[in-house]
Amino acid sequence: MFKAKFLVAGALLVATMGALAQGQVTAAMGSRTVLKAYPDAEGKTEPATLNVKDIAFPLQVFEVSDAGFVRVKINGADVWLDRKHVRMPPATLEVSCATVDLANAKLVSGGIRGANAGCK
Amino acid sequence: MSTSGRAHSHVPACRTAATSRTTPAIGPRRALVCVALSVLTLACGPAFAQQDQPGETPPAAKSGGGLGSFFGGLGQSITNVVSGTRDKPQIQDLTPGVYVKSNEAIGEERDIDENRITRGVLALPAFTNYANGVLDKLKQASGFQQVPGKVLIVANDQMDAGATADGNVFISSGYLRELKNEDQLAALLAHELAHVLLRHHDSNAFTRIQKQVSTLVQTGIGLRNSLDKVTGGTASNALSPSQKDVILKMELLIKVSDVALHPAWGRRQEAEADRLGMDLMVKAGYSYQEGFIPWLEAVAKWDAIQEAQKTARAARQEALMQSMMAEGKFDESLKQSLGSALTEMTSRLSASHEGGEKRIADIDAYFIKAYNEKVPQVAPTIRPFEQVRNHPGVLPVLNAYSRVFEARTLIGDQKYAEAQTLLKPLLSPSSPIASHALPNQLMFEATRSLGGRRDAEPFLARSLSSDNSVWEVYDSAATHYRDNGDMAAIPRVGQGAFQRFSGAPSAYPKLVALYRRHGLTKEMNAALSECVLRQADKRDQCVDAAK
Repeated sequence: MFKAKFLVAGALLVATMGALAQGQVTAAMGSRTVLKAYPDAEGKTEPATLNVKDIAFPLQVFEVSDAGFVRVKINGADVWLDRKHVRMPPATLEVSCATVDLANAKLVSGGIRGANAGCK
Repeated sequence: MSTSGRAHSHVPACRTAATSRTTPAIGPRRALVCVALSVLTLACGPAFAQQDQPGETPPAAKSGGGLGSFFGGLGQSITNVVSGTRDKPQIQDLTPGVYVKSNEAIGEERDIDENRITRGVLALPAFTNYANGVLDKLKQASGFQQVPGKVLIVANDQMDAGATADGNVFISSGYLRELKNEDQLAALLAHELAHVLLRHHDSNAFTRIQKQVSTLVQTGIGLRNSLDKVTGGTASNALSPSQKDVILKMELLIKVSDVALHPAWGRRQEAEADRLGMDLMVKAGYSYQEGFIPWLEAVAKWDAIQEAQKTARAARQEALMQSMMAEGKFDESLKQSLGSALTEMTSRLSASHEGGEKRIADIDAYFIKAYNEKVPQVAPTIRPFEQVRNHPGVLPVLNAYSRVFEARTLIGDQKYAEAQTLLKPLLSPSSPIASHALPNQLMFEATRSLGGRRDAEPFLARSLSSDNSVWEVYDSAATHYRDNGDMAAIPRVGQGAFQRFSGAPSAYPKLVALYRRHGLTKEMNAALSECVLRQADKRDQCVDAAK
């Protein structure tokens, strides 16, 4: 019994981790007020139109299709959103301020993001 | 017809003053007229440009150089930025042909040396060869021929990248960790290449010329006063109140340019580079949704982290002011408050980049309007990118440099023994960076600071003989000679460093600082004079370095 619970919990954990690895949709892209929700992964079927203000962000992404659509659940239903129409920011960044080259701060030049600007 | 001739022809007095080595005595009135004309040129640039090419951003190949393309594109660009987007891809404005290099270019190798001084260039051939292949594809997509420049990696663990007037693209080691596929690398490179193709560096000429003019006016006024003294005129070569007033006004204009105008152009240029960058990568066959968007998302995240840190700093400042108020230190609290507000205002004005969030919104508006939301569906190139990033000559080097940066912080905090412990394995024969200049120089500093002067010497020797040198090695060498009582060697070290880095612009303030630290006033003043006359955009850094 204990072993079965352990296996179920493990499976759930793996599934959750897999979903987390796909990321989250946090908002609609730009100033879009509506999103098209497709029933298929390729965006070939007629989509439903959803008002952005009615969507409870963030949405967990469960799957990403080769055609560039992401599967999410909205109001309990699986739908596919066009990746180009939604915001999916990275959960974390690899870079940090822990290894800052302080000696080279304030070296902003034309068209160039300032070195270490964030860590001064 | 080139717009540059027109733009220049409106400031003949400034041009003469800025380029002449033999400085005429410039009177206060002429100086003011000159500066006013510079500002007028800025204000009128779009109008001149629009007479030539109404409604179009002039392509780089047509412009011929100087400030022409900068002023030429200003009018339409402002319209684009204000309206938020354009209704056709920006790449359509470019006319294929031979690329004409920016007048701000200093030479490709000297440019690399400039970045060796300011940032530290890492030799990662496995990665840079790959990245240069991507850059070549993007150059080809642009339709231009003979676009100069290559990709180089700088030693910085944050997200930092930039292009120079010479066409070189510098990417931080931190970026290498952050990018997830070739398409994201292409997005970054396309954005930087767009700066080069649009000749954005030409705008640097405006503030540089202002500084050159100001310096020459000061020199000219001093010279005229000296001549007056010799010929029996006024009794002093000191500046009169009206002359001081002129110079103060010129310097104020320079400050306005540095703090507000130039960064504002920078923000416009970023929007342009995003749009052309998107065009280039789409045309080169890369994925918009797996490349450009995730790259901008990472930039936005990085911006958010920076903003959060700024907010935390502001909260600490606020708490400090509250505590002062509670203690009855009203004046001091007010001063703190004003200082904080001024810093905030300056920081906002001088931000040369829009936040990532706005850039994402802008590029989406462009995607809708210029592309009608249609781009080719392309699978991202992941595996080759990962292979090259995980190459034994890349990832282990990046990881080792993360430790080097930590060691540098420890040395800055005077924790020399801890720094030694961290550096020791990095300098063992099996380490990929055992022969690199920076870790050896840091080991020299840590060991020397713990009293092991003799033990430290081999590390200095190794750092001096390294191919990938950094300026700090020469600072350490100068200190070494001073410790040994050989002051005569220090000017030789300074000159050696200056030559090693091809007399690149940033070598000037570094040289001034080196001489100041060791009390070599004569050499310092000579380097300072040369800096203010020959490297106007490093003038302020040189003056600060001499203090």
